[in-house]
Amino acid sequence: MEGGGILAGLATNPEAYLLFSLLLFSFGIIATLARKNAIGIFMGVELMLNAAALNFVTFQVLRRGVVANETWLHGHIFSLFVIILAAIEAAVALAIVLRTFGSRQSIDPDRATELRG
Amino acid sequence: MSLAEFLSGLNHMLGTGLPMVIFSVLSAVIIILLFAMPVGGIATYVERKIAADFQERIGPNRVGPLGLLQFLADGVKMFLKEDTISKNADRFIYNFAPSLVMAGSLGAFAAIPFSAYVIGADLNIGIFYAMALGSFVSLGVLLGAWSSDNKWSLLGGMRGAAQIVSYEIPLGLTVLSVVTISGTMSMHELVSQQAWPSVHGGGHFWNIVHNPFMFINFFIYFIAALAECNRTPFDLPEAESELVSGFNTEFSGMRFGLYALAEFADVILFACIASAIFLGGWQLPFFDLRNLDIGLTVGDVSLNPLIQTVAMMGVFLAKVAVLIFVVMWLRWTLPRLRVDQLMNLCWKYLIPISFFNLIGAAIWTWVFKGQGMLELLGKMMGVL
Amino acid sequence: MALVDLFVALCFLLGIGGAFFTAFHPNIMYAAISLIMTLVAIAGLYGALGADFLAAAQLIIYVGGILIVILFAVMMSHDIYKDRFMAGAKKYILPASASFVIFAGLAALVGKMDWAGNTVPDFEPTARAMGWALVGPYAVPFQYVVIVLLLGLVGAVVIARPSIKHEDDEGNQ
Repeated sequence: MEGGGILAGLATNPEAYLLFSLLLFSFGIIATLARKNAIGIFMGVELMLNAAALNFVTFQVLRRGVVANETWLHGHIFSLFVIILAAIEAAVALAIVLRTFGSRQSIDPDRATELRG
Repeated sequence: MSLAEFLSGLNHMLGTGLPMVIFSVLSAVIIILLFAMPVGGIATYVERKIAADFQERIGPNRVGPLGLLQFLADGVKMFLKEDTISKNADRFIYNFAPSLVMAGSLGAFAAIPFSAYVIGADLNIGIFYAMALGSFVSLGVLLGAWSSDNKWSLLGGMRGAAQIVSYEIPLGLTVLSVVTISGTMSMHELVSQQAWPSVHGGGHFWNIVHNPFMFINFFIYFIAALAECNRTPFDLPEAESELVSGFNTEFSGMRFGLYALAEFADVILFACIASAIFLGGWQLPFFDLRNLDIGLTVGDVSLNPLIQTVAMMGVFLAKVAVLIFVVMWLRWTLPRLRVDQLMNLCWKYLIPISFFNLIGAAIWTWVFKGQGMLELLGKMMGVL
Repeated sequence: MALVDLFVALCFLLGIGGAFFTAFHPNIMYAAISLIMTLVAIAGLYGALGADFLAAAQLIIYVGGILIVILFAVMMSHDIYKDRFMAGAKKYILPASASFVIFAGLAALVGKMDWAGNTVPDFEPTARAMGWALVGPYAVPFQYVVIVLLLGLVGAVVIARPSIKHEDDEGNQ
């Protein structure tokens, strides 16, 4: 257990965090573009938001000596705002979803085409 | 101690080798189980006895003296029952949901200050952490209800989730006002501040009498906590007369046992938090238990810390027991609310009042520099 | 190898697995549960980075609030968790390739960066400092967020409220 090992220093390696959040972001894009379901799309958006928020904290904590001198909380605050806005986004989005479902028994966004000219 | 500090402290454990790690994890699990299982079981027994008293029955009296071993018999019965899963149930979630509920309510106990020296982890965001873990309970209720493929379960689960999400707001606001007047989220500090006001400074006595707003807040907290634990008069998620048994209709054997146990653990948890943040935790009026000195020694070692710990835990658990008794008392006294009454109570009364109280408590703290009513009174009369 | 590294690795695995199933699982219910896994993993990463307040906030807001609302919506719109709502496999080709291009580009960028001068997390409590920041330098953005929250809340209620009665201009039914 002592010494190197493949995982050594993982917790303080910004590249690992960035690649992780990048993966999350990619899966979020896939979910947003490919799902034929409003809630699925919404979950993809949540994934992307979280990936971005994690990046803010990563840069703040692991790179504060380089990119942000003596300002050790900006990333945290930004992530907090992301979380708060995600909450209100969830409320509004799901209200719309429920309303859409109530009026046309489907939440497939491709079928909401009444306004198409 | 911050959450991350706690994690990095775990590093040292790995230095002692894998067997030590496994040993510590196992012992933590066993201690929690040793705490939760009997306490949950005894709570069941007490509840049945109290229910019997209210209804002028005798209650459990067959197993053991006074029926005291009834909870063991119940436990054995639950373990031995056939574990049925309905055909169309979603197996994975069905198996997974009860443990989620259990994990949520047991994990929060880590931040409970049983005495000045007995606390699982004195996190700097202790109260916030306890509330965060509590959110797993509603998740487990909702998932378990959905997965059991039963209309009654689903209705119960939906009611449960709506209720828990709504009542989390007044609950959070009352806790927030406690944090406002105390200036800390660490459970240990929250309790330490509630000492009897003394000449040596410090201490504003129990938060419930800190100011008039906190007095109202305690009752709001209590009502909201009742709703969070799905207890009567807010037990709509498992309303027997309409929904069979609500979200746990399809669960049998130990899975049902986990839900029942988690409900009791939840009640105990909220009673613990209420006692810690409003009723002074292990603090007594007039006397600081940290100064308790009976002069007993074994060799050169003073027994004081041990005695103090026992006394503090006794005081703390006595307060918790009183709160739990009130919860059970209410259960056999009040009828169940309707769903619309439940939501009205939360959104039209509790939330506005708790908002008002939060602002009031903040203004009080600002005007009187964080002093409590008793402190001010003492200074006015020249006692302090 | 420190335990924190192991913990972080576990969070990475949990998060990536959760994100994968969120994107690809045909059953929307399981996708939602995978999303919970990812969000809990991110809360764990916040903890490992020393952002204790954020970790708890992530749990309480996402798991206790947003995920409950999502599951609620999944259950209210009955039958949507049935498989027929799954997009066909070929619907995934274009989004997957697009996201792979983005992933490859950004990953190359991450690889090209100069990562000298990294700092380690300092495990100071952040809650108090964040509170001061929110009423100090961030007071205006914070109030802005508060107003957005309020408007969003009212908007959600207005949208979701059933409008059974339609009154015309004269006030007749």
